[in-house]
Amino acid sequence: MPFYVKFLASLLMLSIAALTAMYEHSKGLVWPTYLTIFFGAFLVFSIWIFPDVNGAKPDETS
Amino acid sequence: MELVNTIMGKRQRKYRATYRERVAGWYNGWLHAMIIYLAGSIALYIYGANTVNVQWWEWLALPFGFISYQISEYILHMYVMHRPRKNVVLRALYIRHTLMHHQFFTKEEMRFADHKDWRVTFFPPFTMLGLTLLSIIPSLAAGIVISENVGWLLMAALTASYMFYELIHFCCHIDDNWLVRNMPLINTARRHHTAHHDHALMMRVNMGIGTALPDWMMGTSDLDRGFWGHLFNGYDESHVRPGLQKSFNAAGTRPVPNRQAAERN
Amino acid sequence: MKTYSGDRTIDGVIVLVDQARLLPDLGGAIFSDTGFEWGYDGPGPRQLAYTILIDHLGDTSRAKALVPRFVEGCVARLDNEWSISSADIEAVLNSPERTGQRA
Repeated sequence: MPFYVKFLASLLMLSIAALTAMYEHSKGLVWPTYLTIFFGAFLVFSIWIFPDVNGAKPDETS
Repeated sequence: MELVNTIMGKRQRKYRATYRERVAGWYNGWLHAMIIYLAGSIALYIYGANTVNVQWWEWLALPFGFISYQISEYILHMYVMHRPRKNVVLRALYIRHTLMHHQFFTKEEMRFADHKDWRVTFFPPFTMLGLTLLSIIPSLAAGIVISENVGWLLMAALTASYMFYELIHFCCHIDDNWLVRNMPLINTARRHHTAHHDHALMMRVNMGIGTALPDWMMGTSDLDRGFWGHLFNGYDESHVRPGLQKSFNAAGTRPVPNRQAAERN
Repeated sequence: MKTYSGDRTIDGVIVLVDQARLLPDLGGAIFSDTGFEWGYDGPGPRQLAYTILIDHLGDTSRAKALVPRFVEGCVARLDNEWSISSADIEAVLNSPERTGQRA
């Protein structure tokens, strides 16, 4: 996946996780708040460390 | 590492070796599966924990969401994974699926050699992230228009349906054993998906993976059966439609050689 | 007599004419700007049909007119990796029009 796609998706994921955690905190949900933050961070971390397969490039059409 | 008892041809064997060389860095299939199912389980807990006093009718969001994902997966498979698109993200799916997954596995050899091959079947973590982001749109809308519980339950159903899809697809590529041979839905999926990996048919037929029902609905199934037949067909090959169009063979000329068969003979 | 061949590789779709690369922009990417494909009817297969026919016939207009027939008679039914000759192409173009649904 191109760098800019992963970057934008990461920003979006972290933002939404933060907003959701704030919402859950306002409802008094403790564990869901922590897990939502962990979930967002975990997924973002995973997509960056996951090994790619070197093959055809999606931004090249031949 | 490669399978020992196999009928795969030289081309497939060579492709599998090339693919394995091209996987950058470390890769561990167990870790891959753990990422998907840990993230998915946490997500399901979060969505469930946000529901309050769920009414009986709100639970209907679960089957609705589950089926919606399976249909969406069919559409994605048919119109994106097997069709090159200009959009970079969509094209990446086509490359990963038609140019990698379908070259690694064929109707002749559908199995992983070991966990390092799971890379070509399980979606990368980006899928869980992307699915979560995309699911928010209908779920938020449902939460606002219908009820908050419905919104959270829809998120849960979409995520669970994706995890179900991954499990079924994984089961389609493992070695045959008593469990997958006799477990309803899984045995049906295995036969259905193996037929899909027929190179002559893969671009048009049997696009449903979690369930064959979208193929039944849309007329893209290789089976001549009804609703229940598609759900519980198992390994039965007696209902395969006759006259499914096979590879090109111009009148009066030699047929295009089936290279896999030629290499085995 | 030429031989056209195609394969789906890990580095992308490759189509050759007598071992030389056949590129989608030979006659212009008028059907698809995402390259070649085959095994169904769609923009990629039509682009492949068009490009093969241009190379075979040497006539852009005639090639364009024959694309639907060549797609239905050949390109939509090509296997994952395939090889066809000039004679195969002529046989398809000279065969009666096909009717009826395909799988």
